[in-house]
Amino acid sequence: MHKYLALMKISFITQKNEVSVLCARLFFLLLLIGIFYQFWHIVAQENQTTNLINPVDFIWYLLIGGVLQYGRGEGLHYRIEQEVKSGSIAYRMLRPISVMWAYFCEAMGTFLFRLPFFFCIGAVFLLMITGGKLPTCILDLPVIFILMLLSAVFISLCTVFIGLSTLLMQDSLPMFWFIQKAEYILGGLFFPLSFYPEWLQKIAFATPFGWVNYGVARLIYDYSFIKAVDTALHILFWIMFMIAVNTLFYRLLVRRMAINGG
Amino acid sequence: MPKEVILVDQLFKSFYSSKGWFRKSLVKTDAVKNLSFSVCAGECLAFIGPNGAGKSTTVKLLTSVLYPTSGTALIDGLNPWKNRCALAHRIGVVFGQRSQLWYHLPVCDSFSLLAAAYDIPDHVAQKKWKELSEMLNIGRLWRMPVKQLSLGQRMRCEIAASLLHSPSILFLDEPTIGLDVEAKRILRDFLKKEASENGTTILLTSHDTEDIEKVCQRVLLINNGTKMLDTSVQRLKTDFLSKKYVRLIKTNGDSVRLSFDTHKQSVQSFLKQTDLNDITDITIENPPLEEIIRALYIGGEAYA
Repeated sequence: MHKYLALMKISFITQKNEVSVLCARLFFLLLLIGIFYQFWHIVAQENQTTNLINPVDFIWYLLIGGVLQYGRGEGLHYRIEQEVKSGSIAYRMLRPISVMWAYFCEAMGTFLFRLPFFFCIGAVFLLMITGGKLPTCILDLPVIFILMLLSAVFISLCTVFIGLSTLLMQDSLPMFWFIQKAEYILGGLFFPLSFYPEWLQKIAFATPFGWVNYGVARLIYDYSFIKAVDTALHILFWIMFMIAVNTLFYRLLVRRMAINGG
Repeated sequence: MPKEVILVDQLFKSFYSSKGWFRKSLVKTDAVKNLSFSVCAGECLAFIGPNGAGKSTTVKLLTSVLYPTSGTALIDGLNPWKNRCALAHRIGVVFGQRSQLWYHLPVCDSFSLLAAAYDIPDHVAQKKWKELSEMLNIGRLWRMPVKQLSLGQRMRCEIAASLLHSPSILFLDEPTIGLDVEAKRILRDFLKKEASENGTTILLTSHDTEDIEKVCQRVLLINNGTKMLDTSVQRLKTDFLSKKYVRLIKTNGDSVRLSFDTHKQSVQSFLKQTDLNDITDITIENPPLEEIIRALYIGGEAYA
């Protein structure tokens, strides 16, 4: 366990050296929230149905979804792809450490730094543009934050899965695009799933994205203990599912590497 | 009698590739064929052969990167393919064309990660790093990112990293490839010292005959995956490295290539009979390994 924590710690610490990446990501996150806040204001004034969510709750909803999107490390799946293609991954396997969990810890270390960092700066920005107005369920923020960490675990596993998918498709990009678009649509990144037709909501909740993104973000305006527990249990289920899939892929990878070499 | 720490018995490794558009047929390539040898504790063995001979494949097999098609091997009493994790604690591996360090991290972070991976306590890792950095002259590289290191610096760090957990066996696959003369000298001196002082067993593959001469006591030559020769370096030198090639560059830019055999003619007499007037540069080379192998094929007559 100590070795994996060391990997996570190094990944966490090295984030402070990536100031330009952090600034660029933060800029786009805040820009996205700012644009959507203005947009939502206009829509809310002209359309009665949007009264379901007030603009302040809506941008806090966007902040949670955005932090989960922008908080992940960039390029890890591509690095895994390159290591699988070049065979370098076989040489990493020489160490007494599971390469799959090493990748996961790397992704998680990045997330653990960026998640609170982006969330805190984002929250200050939201308070500034809303004139200090707070979302409906602000007191439940600690529980929401814990659920965000659970989502980060799932997303980190997902990143490793995208990298390992190189085994099947010789390229990780198709899987990356597929999962990213699925997250945008089924995770309700731009609009809450409650705005979607019922059949699409059912599909979204049958996938992990409905729970990992929307399930957590909606709690900022529609919190209940039952809903929080339900979301946590669903995310835990999808984490277990992802661990099983990644383990399967990793074993396949080890077998192929052992036969064909690095 | 010293304990045998590497025991290889009838090792085979075949690769299969598919051929044809409609009717796919498998084409078999034997990279290693019926290879058997053993290495004693503290011994330095040079594993030589031309490109594609099967040297790197054998090292990959013995370090558990690859599974064999058939045959057995015991590395320090462990089956490399069944005890991968336990083996990792007992062997150090350096592949000249691959890096085990984290490219984007400083050397110190790579070392602390490796120390954690091998469950080495911090104070032990620090002590080991001090020892290694003094011997390999890499102390000032501690805070430098790996991506900023020169090839020679990186290779010295790679060797230090492979010895951090004090392995009893060190596998080196072309460690001096692309290095300058000084970097090669530092590495060779270090490896020699490591073997003699700590009793580390070294298995080294190289195309550089000086690596073999300076570091190893024994040579195992393979070609087409088959063992061709297993002898001492002393014996190889006297039998096969006696031929020297001399290239003379004249003042008008012309070059002349001469050869002589140190068994048949002394260096002094060769130089006496050679016209050294108008010479601006002189290069003396050993015969390439490929030539030695060719000589071995025809019973060493080319060098007789």
